[in-house]
Amino acid sequence: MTQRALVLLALPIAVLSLEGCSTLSLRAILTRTEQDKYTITVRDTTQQIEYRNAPGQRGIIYPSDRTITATRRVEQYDSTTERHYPNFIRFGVFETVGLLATAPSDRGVGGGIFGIYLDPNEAFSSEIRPKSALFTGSLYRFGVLEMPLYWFDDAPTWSVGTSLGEIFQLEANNSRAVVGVFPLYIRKRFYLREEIPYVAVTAAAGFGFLPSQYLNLAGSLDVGSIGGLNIRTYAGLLIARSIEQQSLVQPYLGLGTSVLDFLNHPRELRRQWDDHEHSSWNIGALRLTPFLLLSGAPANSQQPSIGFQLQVAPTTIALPIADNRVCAGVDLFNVVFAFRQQQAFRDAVGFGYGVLPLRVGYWLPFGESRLALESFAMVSYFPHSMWQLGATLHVGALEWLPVGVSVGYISSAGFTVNRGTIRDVVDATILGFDVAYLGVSIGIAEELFRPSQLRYNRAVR
Amino acid sequence: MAVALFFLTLATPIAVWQLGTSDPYRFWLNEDTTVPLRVWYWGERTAVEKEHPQRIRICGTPRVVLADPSHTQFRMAMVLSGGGALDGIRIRMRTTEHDVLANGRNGITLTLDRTGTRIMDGTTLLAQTDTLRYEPSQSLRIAFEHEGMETRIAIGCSVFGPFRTGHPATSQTIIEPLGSGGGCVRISDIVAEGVSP
Repeated sequence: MTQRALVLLALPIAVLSLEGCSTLSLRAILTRTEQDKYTITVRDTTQQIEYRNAPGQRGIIYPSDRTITATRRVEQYDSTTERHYPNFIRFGVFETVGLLATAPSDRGVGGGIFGIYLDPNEAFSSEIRPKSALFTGSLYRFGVLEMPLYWFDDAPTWSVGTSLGEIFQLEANNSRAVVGVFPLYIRKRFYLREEIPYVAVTAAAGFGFLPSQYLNLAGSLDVGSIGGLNIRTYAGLLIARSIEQQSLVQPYLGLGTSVLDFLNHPRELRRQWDDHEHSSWNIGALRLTPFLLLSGAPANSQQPSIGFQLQVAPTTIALPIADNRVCAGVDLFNVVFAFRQQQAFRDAVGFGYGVLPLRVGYWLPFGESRLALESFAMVSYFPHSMWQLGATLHVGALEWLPVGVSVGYISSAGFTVNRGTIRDVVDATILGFDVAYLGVSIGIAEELFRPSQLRYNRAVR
Repeated sequence: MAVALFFLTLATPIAVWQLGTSDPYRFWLNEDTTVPLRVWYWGERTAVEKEHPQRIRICGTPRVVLADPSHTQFRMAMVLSGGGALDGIRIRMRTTEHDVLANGRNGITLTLDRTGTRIMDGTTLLAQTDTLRYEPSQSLRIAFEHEGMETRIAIGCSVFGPFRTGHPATSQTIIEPLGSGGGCVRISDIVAEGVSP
């Protein structure tokens, strides 16, 4: 089902890619640009005075011949100031929800509390075996976009939105899976807290057309966003025809989270991007850290001992402690490939990955530059234990592409996979490892924020 | 059926985009002419109503911006007619909404209320008279022209200026009804033309 869903998701991605070549680029979708035009006029008069004294010695007052040339000049300069505002209520890259009571407890997906803690044998795979679980189902949304809906004479906090796709995996069996591409959603938010992080009760009605036809009526209690992170509790009713054409009426409860998911209060649509409040020291789509092992490489591992760490959606939130330098963070996934060891029958790799690993650290900015030193401890608890101590010197040399130097220590207990995508990709026996490393980090679509950009440090206009 | 569903799916992001960007707080006047004027405002959605391609009705005290996107040096004329609940009207020129809000640059301000007329350049009084007043239900024609460093203002048959100013010419004219918020003013026959390319 996952493969099929991915193929279906390829359609909207392709459509958006084509549209990206036109005016509907992502920037144009997310940003509204206003122009102020000015004309500055400067008037200048130059007077040139020329004296032509009569020749010869004259002992009496004598009228001099004087020529005055006055040159008047008007210069006009046109200038245009552009201001950029957010154009959306919500823009989210990925949302995952663990659903309760969507199937008998022995036929569950087993995605856990947020629906994303999947068995490593089944992660990123198309085959999910039924298992006994409290959270029997999962809901995934990709590329969520909500824009203000001005109806009922602009009754506040209504929005209309869609997403690249959403998947309701109600149970391990695909017969009741519901998949929507570009579903249409209308939402109304009732804000309980109008400060960041926002707390809102949201009522939503969603319509899916292809490949499943469905109506999704849902209410949710939303907390966020802060640093693009959100927590949501759901209660809803799904009336659908599944991808295998099975009719179903399914009430559900859920608990979810989302990353790179940004919510704007309607009043924030009138605030320039430059004036927006930020809660994080950094947010990014990907961070890749190729590293050289300083210790911990097995004797018969491939030389030089080079590994890498890949963090998906790394976020580091500033806490209002110690001048906001104490920080906490989370990644969507954290993948570490430490080494590859050649063995007689089957190679072994030092490999680990974590789902929503947690980080705490200390972020030391250097003035107002985009240069900061982050020291951190990371704990990964699923699907296996892994921890990391490290320090990274971040340099925001290029916009959306910061680089850094990272040094640290990673310890992984290792885990076993017998089947599935991870096993196919790794194609080796997975070993635990304890390695020290020195690496270079590259943030992809990552933004580093200055101290003055943090909401704790700025007065809101 | 499948074809209809397919097109519904494709139409959804387009519909979301169109609905999400169709801001009712922004519209155009004179859109069929060579000098269309863009109008936007903040506040109550129903505070400004476009009654005609050259006429708007403003209720309450929103800040309404008229912009000639293609000219900064232009002449503009309009006819004001307000109700008894209104105390007057203020027109800001040679500034922008952002400059007023963010930087406190008020440009040249024409205030027409029940006590008279005042024209200010920032805090400097340029002209004042108590013979030209805002009177409810009386139509009053206002015209102004910005060219280079000079601004001329005409109210009815009286002409003020030219005033020489250091404020840059801008494309925006900001209209603010004065009062406690219960009155309405109709601004009609709004026309503009550029005086310099």
